[in-house]
Amino acid sequence: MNPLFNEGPLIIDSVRHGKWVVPTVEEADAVMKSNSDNAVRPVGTFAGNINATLSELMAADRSIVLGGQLIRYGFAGLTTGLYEKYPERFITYSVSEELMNSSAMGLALAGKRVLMFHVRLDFLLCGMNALFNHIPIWAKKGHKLPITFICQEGRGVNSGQGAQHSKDPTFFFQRFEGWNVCVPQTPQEAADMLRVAVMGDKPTLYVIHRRLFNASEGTRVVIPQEIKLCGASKRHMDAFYHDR
Amino acid sequence: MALARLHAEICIERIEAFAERVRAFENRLLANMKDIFVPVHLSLGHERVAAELHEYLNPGDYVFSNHRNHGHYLAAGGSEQKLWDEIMGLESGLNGGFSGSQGISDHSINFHASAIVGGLVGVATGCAYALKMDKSKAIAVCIVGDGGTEAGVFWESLNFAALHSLPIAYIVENNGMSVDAKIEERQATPLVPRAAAFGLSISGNVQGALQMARSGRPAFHEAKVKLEGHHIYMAGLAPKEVIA
Repeated sequence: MNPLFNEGPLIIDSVRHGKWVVPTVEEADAVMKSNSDNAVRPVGTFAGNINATLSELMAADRSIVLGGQLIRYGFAGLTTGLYEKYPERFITYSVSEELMNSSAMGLALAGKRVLMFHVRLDFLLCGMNALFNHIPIWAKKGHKLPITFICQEGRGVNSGQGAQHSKDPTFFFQRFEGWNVCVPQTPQEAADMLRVAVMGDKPTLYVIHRRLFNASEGTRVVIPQEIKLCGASKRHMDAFYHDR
Repeated sequence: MALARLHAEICIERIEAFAERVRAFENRLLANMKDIFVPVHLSLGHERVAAELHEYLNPGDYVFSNHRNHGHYLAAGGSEQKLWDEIMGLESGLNGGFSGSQGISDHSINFHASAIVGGLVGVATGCAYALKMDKSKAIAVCIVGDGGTEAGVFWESLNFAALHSLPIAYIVENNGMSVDAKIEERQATPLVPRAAAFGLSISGNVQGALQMARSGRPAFHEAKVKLEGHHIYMAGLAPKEVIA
């Protein structure tokens, strides 16, 4: 096995066994009780389940708002059809990741449940000040911050993503007090984890792997435990993912 | 006319009295600096802005401050005793001693401050967006120093606030210094024309800026102030004298 991809603790293990994330499952279920008793758990692809869950949650809770740079345009299927239903709850941002991340905190402090979408994980980190210096610290201080950052991870997709788009910092947030991290490995988890994240009161990084978007089967998602750099060419890709 | 003049005089008296209260608090901290083991930025010389805020803030308004925040916190209706205890690191402090002086927050009065220069500008802007969504009568007030205007997120926020006509007032306490660096070393052009170019309404005072924000016009006010004393204090660094 490639030591770059040591299998670290995953969020699904955390939810089940309480290693990283303990409290929000019951809380979220309580909040959503009236809904979840009757809800038909969406079964389909990762993206389809996320879309259906978002639709269900937005119908149930008017405080949910969605933000991002391309948020009105379907975001690879995750938000398809929702803008047409709830245009006033979509916030389009310029290329201003620091504003996106910090304004998510401001929206939450004023009572919103926030989903902030980043097309790539490396874009998320362009707004690191809010993620590192404010959101987890305000959560630690006891402020309710129902913020879910939904980010795509694109390692090894198609013909490669190059050095800048191939980094995966998920493990950093797993080890950062104040953050919850969700990395769904099945379409069902994609729905369940999203529900927990959105209806909880804690800041959450929700990472969806691009190669899983249209998948209807689960797969083991390995979270690298350090950040290595992969070049853009097929030659680099083959070496990088050789024994993955 | 006479009534208006009388009212104005009473306002001025209240403002001056509150400025004295802030000054007295800061001097009390200065006199006890040997017992303070967190970084403290006193607002001596800045207190007039806090006093005007105290006069013109409404209950429910959100205030986002910076590392030099004691006056702003008291202006927002904060507890002097809780602030004192927080700075002293006591469990009875505002945040149980977790925040110290620089990064305090008080959800009960919608007050937040950060040690990171410019760190809450985007947070304030997101909050203002939520207030507009909810058709709230409250506004967001964001107070930064001249150094805070140099962060990229400041200009990201001004653009966003102007684009969406947010109920927010950006107040700059310009003391001309970023620790030791003079503003002439750091900024190419005056602040006000730049803010105006982004589409913000310019006010010559705090009252006007808050009024503009209440009418849905994002506002900008630059207050020229002169910091008295040092940039930072804490035990072991404090001069003995009290600034009268």
